Amino acid sequence: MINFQLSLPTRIVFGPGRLDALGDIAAEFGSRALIVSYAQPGPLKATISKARELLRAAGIEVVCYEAIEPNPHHDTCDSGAELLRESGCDMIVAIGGGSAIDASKAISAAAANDKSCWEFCRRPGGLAPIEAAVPIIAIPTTAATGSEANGEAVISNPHTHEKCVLASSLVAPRVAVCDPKLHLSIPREATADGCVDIISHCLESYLSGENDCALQDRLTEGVMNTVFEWGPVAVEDGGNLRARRELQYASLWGISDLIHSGRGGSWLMHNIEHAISGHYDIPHGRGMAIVIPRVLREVFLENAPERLAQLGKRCFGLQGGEVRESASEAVRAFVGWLGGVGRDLSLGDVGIGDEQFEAMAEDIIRNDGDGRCYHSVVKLDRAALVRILEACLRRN
Amino acid sequence: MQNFRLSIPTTMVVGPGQFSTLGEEAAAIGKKVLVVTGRSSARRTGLLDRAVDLLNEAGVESVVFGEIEPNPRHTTCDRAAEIARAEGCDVIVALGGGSPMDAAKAIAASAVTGRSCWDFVNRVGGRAEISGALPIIAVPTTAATGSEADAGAVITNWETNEKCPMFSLLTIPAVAILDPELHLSLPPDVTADGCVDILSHYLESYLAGEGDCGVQDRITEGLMNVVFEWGPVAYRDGSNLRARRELQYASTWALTGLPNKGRGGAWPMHAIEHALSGHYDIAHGRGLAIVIPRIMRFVHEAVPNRYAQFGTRCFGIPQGNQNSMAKAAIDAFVTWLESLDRNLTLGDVGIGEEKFEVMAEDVLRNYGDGRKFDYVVELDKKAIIEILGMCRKPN
Repeated sequence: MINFQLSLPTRIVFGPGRLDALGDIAAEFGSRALIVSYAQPGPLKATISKARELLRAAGIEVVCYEAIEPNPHHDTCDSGAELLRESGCDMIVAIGGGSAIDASKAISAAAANDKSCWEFCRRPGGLAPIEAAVPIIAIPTTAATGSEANGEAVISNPHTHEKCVLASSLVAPRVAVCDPKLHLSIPREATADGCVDIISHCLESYLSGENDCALQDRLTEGVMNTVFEWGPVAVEDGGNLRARRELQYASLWGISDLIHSGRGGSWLMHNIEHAISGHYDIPHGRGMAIVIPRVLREVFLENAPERLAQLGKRCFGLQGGEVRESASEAVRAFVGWLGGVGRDLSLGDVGIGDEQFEAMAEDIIRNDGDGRCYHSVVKLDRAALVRILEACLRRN
Repeated sequence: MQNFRLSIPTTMVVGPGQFSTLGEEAAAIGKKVLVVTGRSSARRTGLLDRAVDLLNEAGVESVVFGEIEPNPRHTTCDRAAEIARAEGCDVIVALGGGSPMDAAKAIAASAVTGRSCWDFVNRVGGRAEISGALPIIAVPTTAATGSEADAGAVITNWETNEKCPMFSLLTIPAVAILDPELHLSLPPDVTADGCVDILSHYLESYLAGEGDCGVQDRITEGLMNVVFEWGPVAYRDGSNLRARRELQYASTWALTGLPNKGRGGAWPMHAIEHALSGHYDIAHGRGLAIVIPRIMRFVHEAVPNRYAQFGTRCFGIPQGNQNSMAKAAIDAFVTWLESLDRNLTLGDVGIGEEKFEVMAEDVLRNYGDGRKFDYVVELDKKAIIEILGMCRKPN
């Protein structure tokens, strides 16, 4: 275990119907709110309307910025920051999934520090420190990223095809209003993608970090088991409020420092997926569904079989036995679960071929590696990363 | 599930050696510390001296109040609060187990408000609201109460033999320094009592609250499994740093709201144990070890599904008839207690039946409505006396 400091600054307001608390909560932070949501809000229109009503009823003025794209762009966020400053808003109400909430963090940082949000994104060439932030109230409408209760955001630069992380505890939402009723209309495909996303967060440090963190392991397995159990229920029956509620709470903890702190480890699977969706703009969970099982087989089976064996035992009820065999069985069981939510996929299923593999491998090594290779449980050079991408073309 | 609000404001500084950050943590909050600790351990181990040195090095003044008794008395806390006020202390460092940490909260509230801390405890006749409290840095030297990251404190009024809780968000420690090196010299008895205490914080709500909180259940079971696995290791080999680290962290999460919020559920194990140790001054974990299995036996037929799930997820009991699984789960729990030499009766700790009626009345008055205690099974005076009677017979 690596010594650490843990702060969980977000207040969680949880339960069906809790959206109603929005007005009182917003009144704690000021008198003018910037609502941040998607350019094409679609089914969120009703929620955004309701939020506006609740805010106005509490005497809060409202300005709307419905402009965010999935995989939010840095210039979209910078424009949002300009609007916030010009209209004198003193808080942000983010309504949507990971993209809207991530965008709100970038807007908060850009507005409060008077810089482009891209300057705060982690990439070679350094990054500027975030010294102040506009308070954010997050209303998550997906169970996926857990962005509502942490201080990280993934921002895209479409000109350079880069997808980078902006991080500061200052931009962690002050309050997360988690109302599972808002999840009842999440379409089937987004529900499945969200489940894979939650699992992906759990697996990164679980498989690649220090393996002597028993408490963190148990918490991580608990979150994963919730998703393994309730994910298929919500995919089959989106109107099941109980399933939506469980997935929502699981998604919040899945990305939280609560389950990761102490382990260290790398985010290999995410770094690969970000390189893919930097070029092809597919949903994050969809990309993760393709990447995870290949990385399990190509990297963790060889280099951390005992972690996969533990996963098999504690999440798939496998009996144990010889470590490598147990590890293989765990991978098979996981792929089986993916199939159960319609996510046993390959790159061909999402219309991606091998044209950009070299470029993607370069992106990964440049943005997340040391310039020559990527460090995970084992060092991966460009050729190794290309091999993993090639495995993503073949069926599981 | 009941709708809930969860805030975990405590910054946790975790890992072997992190005690050395005490000075910088204190300097970030204030200028003059009241160090609150017990009567012997911190001095004997040299920890108190180290604390004062670290504070000095960071340019922070300190005043030591080293008189907290196990089961801290309200009069002691009030005296410490007066000293804090007179000395102009602006931050409290609680160094020790649950007693100094609980005392620190009472002192923190009394120092700012000028009122006796007894005014703030939950009891018949109501309680005053805490309007302000000094910030607290908790440095736990036991893995037991979870007081380092929660809003509660249990204070004893020795004149009236009452042990009552105090709760305020304002007294949740701002910082908890979780350094397992400070636990290496804990004697086996304290270790074992601590493990039972940790589990009690998980078990109360888990066995009695709403049964449809999937995430909370998984989190709770995971945390309990840490204690089931590492408790006996630390008991047999106190110098095992890994075991100490796991237990410490398991203790800290118990009362933060993470495992329990959404479930509700009453706390009879604590209500009854407080009555016992209000009269007999036994260690809290020791009393709980006696009370918990008897309550389990008394009520499991009302909620066999909870006990069956407990059995499956914590003791690997195979699926079958729920009532049988429930009984098997309790047996497995008693076996685990045995491994810590905590399969005990009241006789083992020198307690007879003389005060059973008085204690039952204490429970109903302080934790019930005067006539009954609302639980999965309603507990009236007769039921509580029956449970106490079971505590005199072997498990």
